[in-house]
Amino acid sequence: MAEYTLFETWLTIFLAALATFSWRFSGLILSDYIRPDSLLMKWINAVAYAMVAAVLMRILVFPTGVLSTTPLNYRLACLAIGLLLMFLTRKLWLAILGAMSAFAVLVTYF
Amino acid sequence: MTDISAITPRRARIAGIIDASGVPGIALGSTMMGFAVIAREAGFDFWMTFLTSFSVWGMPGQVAFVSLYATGASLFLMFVAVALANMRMMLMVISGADILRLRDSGLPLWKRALMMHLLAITSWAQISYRQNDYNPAMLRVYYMAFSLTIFAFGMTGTTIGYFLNDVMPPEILRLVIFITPIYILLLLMNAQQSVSRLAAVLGGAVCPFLYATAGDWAILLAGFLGGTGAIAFYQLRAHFEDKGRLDG
Repeated sequence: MAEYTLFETWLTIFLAALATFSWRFSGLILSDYIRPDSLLMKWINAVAYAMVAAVLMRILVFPTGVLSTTPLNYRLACLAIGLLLMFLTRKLWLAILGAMSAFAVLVTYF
Repeated sequence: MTDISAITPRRARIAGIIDASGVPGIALGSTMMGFAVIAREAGFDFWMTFLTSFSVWGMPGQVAFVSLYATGASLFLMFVAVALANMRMMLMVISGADILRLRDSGLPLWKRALMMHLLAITSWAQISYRQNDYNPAMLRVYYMAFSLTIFAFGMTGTTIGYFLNDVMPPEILRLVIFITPIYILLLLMNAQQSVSRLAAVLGGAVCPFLYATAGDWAILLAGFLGGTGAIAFYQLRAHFEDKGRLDG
């Protein structure tokens, strides 16, 4: 493991916060100039949806840490169970419960 | 269906706290728990871990940050990696500020900036899901109650993760960490507008394939492709429907 001085470590934390804050702040300023019903706003909203889904699929398919000790097939099968339950019942909590229970059973007993 | 104009600030606040205290709070708390585990392995002390969650408040960036820290990367590289990982924040804030009608709220800039610091994937997806249940002013009250509650869950998760890492068996931890992706993906599929659902399906479906070649750029790429594809599909459909109407 590389060694950083205490000062450097705190500096990196400050930089990480700054990097994130800059995006949030520019988003806030830009939002004042984009008309709510414009095509640009619809596009930004759609890209935000697609990007968030992409982040979560990246975590689900290529996880790091303890989640990577579970088989990919199980993780995808449980997502499918969740989606199926949601389309059939239209109840979010039931879909989450179904997917999580299936996952608990699969990784514990199989 | 209740009359949305009759909702009081108190009711919006309580609803926000209750909605956040179930699956969203647990999911976020467990995600932050996972972050604290990685941060401790990377050599962070407790206050460094806690303040990173507190001041960055954006999971993908936090994970990129501590993972690089563990490998001994340069400060510049860490800055760039966090900036790239959290670039989506800008789009989420533009969309979130629009949903909350922050422009017309009359709130000072520092207050709006503070409100947007609390915006995370979870709270953004939640207000997007709930936007028609409240008028803009009450939605802002609901949002603040919801966001502050999940923030509290997140910071508690960070603390627990840092100290109870050794106590929690990995068999349980991996179940807890699985909640976040499942919960958010299902929540996205509950979006009110079909164009948002299509964007999420497209973005989520192409990301794993792009990831093999593009690495973490895949997220930005998938977002761009999925969002543009969904908008193009609905614009074209509307165009041809109009044309059909005129011709017929």
